[in-house]
Amino acid sequence: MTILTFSAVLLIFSFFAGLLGALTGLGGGVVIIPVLVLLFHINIHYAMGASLISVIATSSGTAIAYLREGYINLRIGLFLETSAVVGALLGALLIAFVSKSFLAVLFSLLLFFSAYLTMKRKEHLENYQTSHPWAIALKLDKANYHVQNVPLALGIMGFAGLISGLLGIGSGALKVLAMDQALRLPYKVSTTTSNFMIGLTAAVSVGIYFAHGYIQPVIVFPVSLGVLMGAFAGARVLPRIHTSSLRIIFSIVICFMGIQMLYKTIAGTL
Amino acid sequence: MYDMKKTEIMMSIILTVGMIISIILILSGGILYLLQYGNDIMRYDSLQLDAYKTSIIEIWKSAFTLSPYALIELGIFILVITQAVRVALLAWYYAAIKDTIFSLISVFIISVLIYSLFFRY
Repeated sequence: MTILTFSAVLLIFSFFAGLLGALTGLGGGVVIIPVLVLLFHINIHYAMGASLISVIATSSGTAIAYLREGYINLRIGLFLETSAVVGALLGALLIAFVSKSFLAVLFSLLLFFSAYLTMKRKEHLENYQTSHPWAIALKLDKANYHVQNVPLALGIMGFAGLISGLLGIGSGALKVLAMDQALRLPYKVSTTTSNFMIGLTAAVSVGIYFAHGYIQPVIVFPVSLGVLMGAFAGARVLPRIHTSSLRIIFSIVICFMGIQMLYKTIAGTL
Repeated sequence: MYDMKKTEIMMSIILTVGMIISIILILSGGILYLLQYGNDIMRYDSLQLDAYKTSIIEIWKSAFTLSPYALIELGIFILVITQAVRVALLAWYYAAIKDTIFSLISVFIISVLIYSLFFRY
């Protein structure tokens, strides 16, 4: 395969990664990592480096459209990000004391369970009259929706940060979960606010990857361009997609992520 | 004066400018690279050498050599730094409306970002 073909194939896959990332709030890593590792036999560290860049690209590529549509709740995004950042710093400290494979298995089970919870929630039947006291004090709610269990969401976000500090991936899924299941936000608010946050979380890790040489320009250039285009496309499509279809897409993607985690644990490439 | 709508518009402008600059840099670096090596056979092992170890500061220094790699890396760097800039904008906004908790939260997130981008190796 010539370098030109490699770049073109990677560009096309990255476009779909960006599209899917924009719709689910998960970033592009769930597509980028298996394509690079399984199709091109690229070392997992370089794949994770490219994945981080794809997450940042998705986050930047969608933020403009989602801000304009008024989906993103910036206050919730920032507030939850603090807990994720603290978790990520703790995770980096705990790395010597926790079994990674145990954590990976736990996390994949959690992903399957999240898929079930995501499908189970019937937003249109819920009717909250008021918000959680913390949400009121911090002015997290908006005119058209209320915000529920803030402490639980903070806990999930701390755990999400811990997981991403230890395993390097997967915080997006738990971010959406925290907002959808704990805060009980409208689904598109959860996924777009997650999209806004994941770029920040990924940027925190990217310095380390640069230092180790895992951000390889030859891999990253088709990935970043493809993902940006995909993310633009996804952000344009999102307002027209029905919430229940988004829930189905999200659940399929996180089940796939769970299978990837299990596979990595068994293959010993964690 | 300091309403959220204006802040969101400013953030959109910052994000757009950041993205356009990084797309131009990455694209021109990528095209230069493909013009030079596009017809060579891809050797995956050569992608995974230690030769690419770099840091944010080195990216900045080497950017002016205008080599394909330097252009791509600088484009990526701008994409990353845009993340910090948008939080900085929020910090400024919350400080302006005297929302202490949220300006502290924003400042905390920027500090962690700057620390991990420039000082953690």
